[in-house]
Amino acid sequence: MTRDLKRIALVEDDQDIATLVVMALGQFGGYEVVHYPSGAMALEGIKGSPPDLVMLDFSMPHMNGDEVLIALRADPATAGIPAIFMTASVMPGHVKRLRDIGALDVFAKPFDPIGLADRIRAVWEMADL
Amino acid sequence: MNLVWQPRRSLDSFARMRLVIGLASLALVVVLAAIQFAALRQNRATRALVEQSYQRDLLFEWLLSLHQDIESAQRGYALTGRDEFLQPYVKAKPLIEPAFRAVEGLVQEPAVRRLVGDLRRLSAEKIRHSEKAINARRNGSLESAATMVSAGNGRRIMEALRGRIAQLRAIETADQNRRLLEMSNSDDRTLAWTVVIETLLLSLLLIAYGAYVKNVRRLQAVTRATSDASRRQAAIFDAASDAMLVVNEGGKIEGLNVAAEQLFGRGKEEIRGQLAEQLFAEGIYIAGRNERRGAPRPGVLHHAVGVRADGSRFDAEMATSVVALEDEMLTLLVIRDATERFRVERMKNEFVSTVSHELRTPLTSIRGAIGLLDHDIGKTASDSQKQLLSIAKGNSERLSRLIDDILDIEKIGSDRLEFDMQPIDLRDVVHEAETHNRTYAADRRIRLIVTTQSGPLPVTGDSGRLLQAITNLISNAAKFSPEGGVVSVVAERHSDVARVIVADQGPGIPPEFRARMFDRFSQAQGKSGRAGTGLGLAITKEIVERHGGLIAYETEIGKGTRFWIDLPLTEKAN
Repeated sequence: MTRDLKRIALVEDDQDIATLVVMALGQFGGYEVVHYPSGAMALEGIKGSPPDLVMLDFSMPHMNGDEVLIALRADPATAGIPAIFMTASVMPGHVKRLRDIGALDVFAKPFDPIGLADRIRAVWEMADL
Repeated sequence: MNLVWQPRRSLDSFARMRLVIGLASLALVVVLAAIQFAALRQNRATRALVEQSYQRDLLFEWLLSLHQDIESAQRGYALTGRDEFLQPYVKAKPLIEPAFRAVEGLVQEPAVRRLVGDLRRLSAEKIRHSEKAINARRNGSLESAATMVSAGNGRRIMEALRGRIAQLRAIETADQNRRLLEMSNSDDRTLAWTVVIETLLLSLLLIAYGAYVKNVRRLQAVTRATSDASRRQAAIFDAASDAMLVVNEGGKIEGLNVAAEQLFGRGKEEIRGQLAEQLFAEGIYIAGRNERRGAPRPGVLHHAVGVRADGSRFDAEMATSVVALEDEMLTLLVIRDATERFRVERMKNEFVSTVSHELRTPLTSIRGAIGLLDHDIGKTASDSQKQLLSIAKGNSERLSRLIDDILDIEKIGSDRLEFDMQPIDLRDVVHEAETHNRTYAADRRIRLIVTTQSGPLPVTGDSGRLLQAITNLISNAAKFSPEGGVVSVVAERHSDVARVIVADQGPGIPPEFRARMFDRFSQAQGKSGRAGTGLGLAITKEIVERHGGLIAYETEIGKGTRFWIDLPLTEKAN
């Protein structure tokens, strides 16, 4: 049976995009979204309070999204948290690599904020977690 | 390579001439030998006949002499009665018969045989008469013998005999003369033929010599031309700023120019004889050695990585051409240091990629913000607010498409456009493209009619990229269609390909635009509702071709345009 999706951690360095995602997911999905502006902060916060799902921006200063996911997978406390990537580069090779390290799905930027919550829910249900 | 003279044909003609002259000379020598041999044989036969004639003549003369001996002996004895006068008679008589036999053995001609028979008869008569006279003297008296002698019968017989012999000797003399004349004529003929044939032989010899001299001169000219050409080529070779290597089938370097020495940082002697593969880390093709890779098209530059003497590597552009000689194949490699070009290319690609990615981030915010704003206040906004929102939304979408297209074009240019090939039904892609364009077409009051065949259209392809290609064609068709027009999309099996046809009722493609229609950043001038990027058709063509398909169109000014793409079916039509 599919678990309920309530709490989403958003790892995104761009404040404007983060604001939009928080608004869109809250408004159209009713999700509680916690925003972390960097990978380091996300690793620390997620470990302390694990969410149901992590939304990761791929391209970030200091620590890219894939590095964050690898670090999450390496820690038993956070290893099981499903993750979705948001990236401006959706080349098949790139997408495949992100799936290989454990991404549920990869969303292309720019995305439609109104349909974003529906897309996340669809992926969540499809994954049957 | 037009400097290289080809001597094959004239050498062949010289060889042919040599053969003809040789055979003709041989034939003439054989004919001459045959003529001389025949003449020799004939002369030998004639000489034998002449000798027989001489022998007969001698025998006739001897017969005359024997009969004269008999005559004088008979006369002397008849007159004197002395036995010593009979001695010549006794000696001559037994010789007459063998002499006749010898003559008869040498006579073939019937007329002569008859004369000889006559002679034999006269001889017998003469001997009988002489014996009678001798017996008369021996048994009788001088008177009866003298009477017999003086009666003159013996003399008459002797005269007749002498006459016959003279006749026979005359025949022999005539025969000898005739045969000697015949021999002389035959000698003259043989001599004439010999002169004619030897003259011919001499002429042939002169012709052969003339041809030989001509050929030698031609060969000298050719050698000169070849050496001039090779000097010229060597000069061009060494003056060229591009490095050049000539490689044999074994992969060994046979020749190189100064630029190659400089490029690879090694001396000519060091490079010559080395395996060409040792000078390249990748991108090398040598005829007859690595055929599996397929020969690069001549004159087309491709990327290679060269290795210098110190082990450092450099990007190079290489043109490869195969030189097929009579007995071997050489590969000419023309190499240009392209380090700088590739560095700039890489920088450009990185720049385009970075800029496009950096543009996407604020664009994501803009589009997201407009989307949310539109959702929140869309229903309550005034008309002018709605119009402003629509402008902002439309242009942010356009910017987004532009960035996508620029990134795609950059990937095509640097050969980094990736495809995720899967088995798909092309009809699904067409229906998805229809969905993507439905709102746009409806906004422009254009009817979008999509017809797909009932059976599946299985192809192997990247559905996202094919969607992009078909969407491009449909949105172009809608863009150029007049309000209220129809854009029809058909997906069907066509022979052994899956064909998607997109037809509009637009103004048609202007002739001057057709040639550069598939080029990047080319846009036809028109009353445009939604400005394009000018990259759509270039990207569409690349996508289709990378799927092993083709794109084509037909257009008529004032009537409309029909584009179609053909993709290979995964399962061939039954």
